[in-house]
Amino acid sequence: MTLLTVNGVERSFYGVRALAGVDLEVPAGRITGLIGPNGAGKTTLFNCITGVIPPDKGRIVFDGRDITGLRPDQITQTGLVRTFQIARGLPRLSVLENLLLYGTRQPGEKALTAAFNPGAARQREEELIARAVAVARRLNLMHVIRNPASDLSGGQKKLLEIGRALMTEPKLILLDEPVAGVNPTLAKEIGTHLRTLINDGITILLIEHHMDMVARLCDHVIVLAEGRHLAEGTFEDVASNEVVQLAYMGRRKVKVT
Amino acid sequence: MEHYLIAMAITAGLYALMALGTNIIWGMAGMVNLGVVGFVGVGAYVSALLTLKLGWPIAAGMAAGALAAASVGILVGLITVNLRGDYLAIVTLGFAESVRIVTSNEIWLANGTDGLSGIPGPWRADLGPHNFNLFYLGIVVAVVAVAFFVAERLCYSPFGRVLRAIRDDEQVASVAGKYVLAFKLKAFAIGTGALGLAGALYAHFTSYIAPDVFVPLLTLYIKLSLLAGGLGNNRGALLGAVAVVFFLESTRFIVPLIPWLTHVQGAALREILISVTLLIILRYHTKGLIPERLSHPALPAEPSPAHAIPSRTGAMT
Ligand SMILES: Nc1ncnc2c1ncn2[C@@H]1O[C@H](COP(=O)(O)OP(=O)(O)OP(=O)(O)O)[C@@H](O)[C@H]1O
Ligand SMILES: [Mg+2]
Repeated sequence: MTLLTVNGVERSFYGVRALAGVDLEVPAGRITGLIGPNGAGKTTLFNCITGVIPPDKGRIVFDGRDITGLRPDQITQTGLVRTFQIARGLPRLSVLENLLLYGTRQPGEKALTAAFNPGAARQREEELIARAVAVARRLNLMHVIRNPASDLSGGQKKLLEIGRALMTEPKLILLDEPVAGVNPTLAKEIGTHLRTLINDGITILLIEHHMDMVARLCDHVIVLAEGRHLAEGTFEDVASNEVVQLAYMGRRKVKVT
Repeated sequence: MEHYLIAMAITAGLYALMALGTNIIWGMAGMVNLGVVGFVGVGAYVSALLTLKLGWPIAAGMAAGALAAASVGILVGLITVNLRGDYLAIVTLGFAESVRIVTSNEIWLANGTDGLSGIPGPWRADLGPHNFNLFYLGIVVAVVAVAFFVAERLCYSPFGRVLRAIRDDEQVASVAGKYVLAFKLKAFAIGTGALGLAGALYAHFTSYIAPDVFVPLLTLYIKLSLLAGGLGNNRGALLGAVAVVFFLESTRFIVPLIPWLTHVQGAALREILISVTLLIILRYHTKGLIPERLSHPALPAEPSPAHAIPSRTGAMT
């Protein structure tokens, strides 16, 4: 079953065609890898899918619903959440608060309830805290959970990105280079953890430059180059594809002088 | 002298209310509002006009003044929705000036630069000047206490958490599933409502308002209160407001004691003293006297052993 369909999505920035008509499908219940050289348009595609940057053209269907043109908050509420390539922890909120912020259905986010009936928010807050603690524990963030997010290390910030996404009870998570800058042991652990998410019924679309990780984790790999869908298949298929190799190495063969 | 002290305490209370309101907009949600005095003016004029011209009860006039300021706040918020930082500051500053200019020129409505006088105060005649001031101080203290209580609750509630998230990174808050525009407008409405209420309280206390009461300098004093007290912290807002009023008033007495200063020089010296004091405070307390604290929701004492993260299909519906 296809969970996400991207159809002819285009986006330009001041004449630079970041996305030149991307078509792709993300099947449910799997880890799909999205790879491609720097500047291929991978992050831009995530931005367009999640409503952070509106596409110039094209259609995006998630879980049977056209989500093109929806606001990012509406898209997140449909069960599609993304992480940021450059970690964007909210610096003046604690790690716990960063996690809680991504929590859903908190009646205390209504001003009137918050001011005059905080009891109504308390039960949900306790549920969210329990969930946040479970997430923090899984991501080795428990010992820093009270610290401001600005005080985290680079790798911990990346972990917080994943943790926040998990707080939204997503059906599909778009991960933008989740382990860039994370130490190899933990990166491996996160990889294993991503697999368990699949067992929980969550689907993952993963941008990653570490090919060993892609090889190990992804059931299916899509290659993006110069704003276009270039190839797809298993990692082995894609890695042995000459067109893909060319895209990574550059179009013309460089003559050594 | 006692009369004067009570009046100063009322002024401090009104500054505190304005600082609390501004703190919700600026401190919590991170939106720069240089139009503070404009919303204060709207609240003051609406309440004064309704009680003077239509004979509304004072409490109803004040409520209407606060609501009017909040409505105008939402309107200004909608206009400035895509503006940030400096641009938002400029537009709100322009708004405050237009309130002043409209009230100066629409003589049929607001009596122009002559202002409105004879604004009723609650039981003013029955109580006599001294008791009236004491009574009014009681009202102001009660209002500030309620405002503080509500502001504290909001600040450390899930609602406040979203506001602080928007302040730090709007896009992240949006991806977190929060409708940023709605939260910004709510913050604006609550904050400007408090400003309007402060204006109405002022009008019914002094019984006289005029456009030149609502000058941009007041906005700066409120900003100063927050910066000195601790932006983002309601206690800081209270402390800062009281400190600013105390400082403004005490220099009024001290500066004339310095010999060889003309009146104009003395006034300038007061402004310099205020700036220098702020600089000194911010040099040693970069986040104000009472810095914003991170709110830490209590973690469960007994860490739950479950490592499993409940999935969407799990028990969480
Ligand atoms: N907000 C923006 N404004 C202007 N240009 C942009 C913007 N976002 C992306 N671009 C441009 O679009 C192109 C694709 O960028 P994108 O970030 O999507 O690449 P990427 O595939 O994620 O690369 P990397 O692997 O390095 O992260 C680049 O040429 C980039 O300069
Ligand atoms: Mg990228």
